[in-house]
Amino acid sequence: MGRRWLLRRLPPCDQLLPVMSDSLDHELPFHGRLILKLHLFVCLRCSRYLNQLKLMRAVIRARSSKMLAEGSPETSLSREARERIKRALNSQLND
Amino acid sequence: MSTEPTVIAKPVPDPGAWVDLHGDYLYRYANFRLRDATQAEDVVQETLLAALQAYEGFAARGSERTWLVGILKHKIADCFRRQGRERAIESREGEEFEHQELFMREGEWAGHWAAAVQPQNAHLGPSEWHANPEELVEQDEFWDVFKNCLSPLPLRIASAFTLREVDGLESEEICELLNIKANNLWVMLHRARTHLRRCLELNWFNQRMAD
Repeated sequence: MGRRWLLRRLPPCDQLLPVMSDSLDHELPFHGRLILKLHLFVCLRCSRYLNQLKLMRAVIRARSSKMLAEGSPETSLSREARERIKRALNSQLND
Repeated sequence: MSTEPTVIAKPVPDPGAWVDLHGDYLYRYANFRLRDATQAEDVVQETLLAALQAYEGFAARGSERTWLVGILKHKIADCFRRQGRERAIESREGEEFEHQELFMREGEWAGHWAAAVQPQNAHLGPSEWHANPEELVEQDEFWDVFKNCLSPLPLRIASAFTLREVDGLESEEICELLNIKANNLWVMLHRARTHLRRCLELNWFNQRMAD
C-alpha cells in the first residue's frame, strides 16, 4: 500500500487546499512545491480539486472575453442610461 | 515617411459619439466585474465625465477605446475599494466558505476528504465534473448559477476574486487596490475558490450527472 503509506506521512488534504489555491497566485517555496507534488501524486480528490480550480479560471476568463466581444440587449446600456449619460456629458461640456 | 510629430488641430471631444461607440463595451466590461447594472451604468458615466476633463491630455494618442477602458479600470477599482471599506467590519471574512464539513473530523484519516475515506460520503466530493469548457462558456444557465454562487461571498472577497480570476491582476496590484496584505488576499482567494467550486459542483455539475 505505497499510496496510503505516503498519504499518511504528508499533511492531510484540508491543509493542502490553501496551498493549491496559493499555487495559482504565486510561486510556492520549495518545500510547499514538494509537498504539493507528492500529495497530488497519491491523492485523486485533491488532483480533481486543483484541476477544477484551473477549469474555473479558464472558463471565467473565456466567458469574460466572450461577453465583451458580443453584444446583446441585456448586456448593453439601456436607452435611459444612454440618454442620461449624454445629458451629463453635455452639461459638463457646456460649463 | 517622416517620424516628426505632425501638428494636429486641437481635438474637439464628441462625448455623444463616445456613448454610441464605446458605451456598450464599457458597460459590459463594468457589469461583468461589478455584477450590478446600476453600478455599472454609474461607473460608465463617471468614466466618460473624467475622460471629458482629461481630454486634452489624451489628444488622439492611440486608441480612444483603450484610453477609456484605462479610466474605467480605475473607476471600477474605486468601487471595489469603497465596497471593501463598507463591508470590512460586518463580514467575518468568510471563514464559513472553507467547507470544513467535507473533511474527516477525527480518526487516522482526519483532515482527508470524507468522500475518499467513507463510501457513504461519496457525495461530499470533489466529484468528477465531466466538464466541457467550450460548452460551459456558451451556456447562459451555467453563468446564472455561477452568479448565484458568487453572491453570498462578502463583496471584498468577491472583488478580490474578480480582479484575480477575471482580470488576471498580480497579487501586488490587487493588494494595492484593495489596501490589504498579500497573506490576507491569498486567504480570501482560497475561500472564494473553495466556496465557488463546491457551489458549482452541487448546483451544476452533480445535477448534470443525474440527467
